[in-house]
Amino acid sequence: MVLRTVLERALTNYMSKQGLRFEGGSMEEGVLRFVGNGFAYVVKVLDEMGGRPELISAALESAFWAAKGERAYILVPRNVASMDELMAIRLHGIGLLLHGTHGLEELPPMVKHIGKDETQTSVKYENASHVIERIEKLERFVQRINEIDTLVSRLERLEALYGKLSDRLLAFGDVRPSHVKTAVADKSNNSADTKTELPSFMKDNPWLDILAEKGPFNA
Amino acid sequence: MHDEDYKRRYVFGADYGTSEFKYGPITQGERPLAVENRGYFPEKSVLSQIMGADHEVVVGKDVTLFLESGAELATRLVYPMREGIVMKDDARAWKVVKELTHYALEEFRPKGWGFNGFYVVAALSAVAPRYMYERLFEIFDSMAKEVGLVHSATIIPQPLSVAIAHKKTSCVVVESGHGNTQLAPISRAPIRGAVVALNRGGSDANAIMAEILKDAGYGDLAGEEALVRKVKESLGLLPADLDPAISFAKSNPEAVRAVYAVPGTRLKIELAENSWTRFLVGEYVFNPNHEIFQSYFKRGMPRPKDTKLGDVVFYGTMDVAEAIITAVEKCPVELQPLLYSQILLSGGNFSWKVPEKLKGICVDSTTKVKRMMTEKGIENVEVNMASEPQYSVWRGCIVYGYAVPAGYNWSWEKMEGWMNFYK
Ligand SMILES: Nc1ncnc2c1ncn2[C@@H]1O[C@H](COP(=O)(O)OP(=O)(O)OP(=O)(O)O)[C@@H](O)[C@H]1O
Ligand SMILES: [Mg+2]
Repeated sequence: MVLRTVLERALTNYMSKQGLRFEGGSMEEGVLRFVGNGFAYVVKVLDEMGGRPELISAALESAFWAAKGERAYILVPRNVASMDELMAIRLHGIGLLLHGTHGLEELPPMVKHIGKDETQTSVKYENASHVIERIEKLERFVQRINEIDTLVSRLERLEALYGKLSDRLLAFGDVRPSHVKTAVADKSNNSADTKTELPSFMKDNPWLDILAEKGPFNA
Repeated sequence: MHDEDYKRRYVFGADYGTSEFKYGPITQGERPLAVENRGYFPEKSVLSQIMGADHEVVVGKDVTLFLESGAELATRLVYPMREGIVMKDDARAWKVVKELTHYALEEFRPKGWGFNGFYVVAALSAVAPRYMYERLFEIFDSMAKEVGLVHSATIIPQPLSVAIAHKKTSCVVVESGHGNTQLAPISRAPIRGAVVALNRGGSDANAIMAEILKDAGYGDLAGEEALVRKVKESLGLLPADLDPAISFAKSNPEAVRAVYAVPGTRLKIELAENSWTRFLVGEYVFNPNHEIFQSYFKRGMPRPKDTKLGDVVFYGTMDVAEAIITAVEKCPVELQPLLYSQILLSGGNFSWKVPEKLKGICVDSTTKVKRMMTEKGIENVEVNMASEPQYSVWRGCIVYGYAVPAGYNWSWEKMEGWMNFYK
């Protein structure tokens, strides 16, 4: 069994290498605190006696700390659980420090999770009034969207009507009303605009027309 | 019109490649994201259940995490595809496919209102059997019902996608990856019943490279897949004509000498007086029928065999030009000249480079195919190499989804249209 004082020294050494300063706590309490890089760090220390139940409660406790915005770590004896089990904890953004005969070692740092976890926890722990405020805001948005929907369907009906009207006007002969022309010109302008935003493999691709003709009655 | 606008905004491409799964929505621009096509099945435990990390399978970047932790790879790491095919009864493989699909779509789930799922265009190997289409549609169905990520989906063959990405409406696509080679004539749509497949790909070039390494005294390295592949990509050469190239090498040994330095080690691989064998590697991909390969087969290098997967025969030793001709001759006669004039090569197994001092002796893949076709008496052949071949399948998916009308429903008879899951 590794002596607690040795373990404590190894941990403080490791953390100071990461640029962190000891803040308080003790091995007897089983919790040590550090600060640095703009974060508070909590390390829960487990010894060989506890076994798996201890690990589970430490994981849950650490999850709460992490949710409060602290950087939570668990210091565990190397053989307390299988690597896959430890990874289940690691995937929650809780750091794992393993100790054994070769000293102290951190499980692989996460690729992307830290960023993600931060946003999750900050969302979770906003206070209730803030949440209600947001719900109200969302309700106002929903109402706005409903209004827009109504407008869109009115616009669509008007467009259809306009189409029919201009067809009839055309039937009167070659005299096209001037505003019909501008409407047509506007449209082609628009599609030219969207074309410039298209990726290179789409531009002037003859397949666009071939595929657009597909349908139950064609092809 | 409404539907059409919605669809265009939410087109999502998914290329189910054997080694890499490439994916992303239309807003991704020129290139998709790529992730290795594999999944890790972690050991189940109370702990992982309590932590809510009891996913049966982990995919994407998290897999690396498990690998670094010294996980048991042999039983827990699953590569779901072999030569573009997922076996029907391989439950774990299908779980990986489903999880990867979810992973990819979730990564791009839009924030805010009005999102009713993506219009997904998936691309599968040209030789994928019908059950793969059915299973993939089932996966999209659950992505629609369980997580709201899919609105509609369609599935197209990879060679069609390559043709679309390269703006070629009539052509023969020859796609050669790590495991096999598919040839698909296309004329405004894949020509039915004309697909030809070869049971040969980059891994076979690795096999002969391994034999060559043994002969040159590197027998201890011949078993290391990844290394052999690197050596092949660096030292392998594609000769214009094998016999003259070998005579050239034997009379100009200095010209063909080359060294491969293994990165991060002191190891240098040098074929010395065997340097002429560099030509065998590329030649073998295009034509394994030269008598010189017999001696390699005799001492145990596996000879590519004709095999049948579903209805498709994968030819073992048919040369590439013969395969193109076989495919084209399955098409209507009046189309054949047009098809020969538009041959499109794609896939990593065609990326042979020509060293400056071996110009004329070595060629690139397009020149090689053209020469082989001429030898067989086919004139007016035009061969092109796909640019950025690793992305063309995804690009074709995006164009396809953008253009095919949202109101066109999937037809099993035509194998096209949208399967709608949003009700
Ligand atoms: N410069 C090169 N010279 C020779 N062979 C190469 C070169 N670069 C890549 N390759 C070979 O191409 C093969 C990989 O091609 P590709 O990426 O198309 O395979 P794939 O299995 O189809 O991948 P995916 O299925 O993920 O699309 C490998 O065998 C690789 O060694
Ligand atoms: Mg491929």
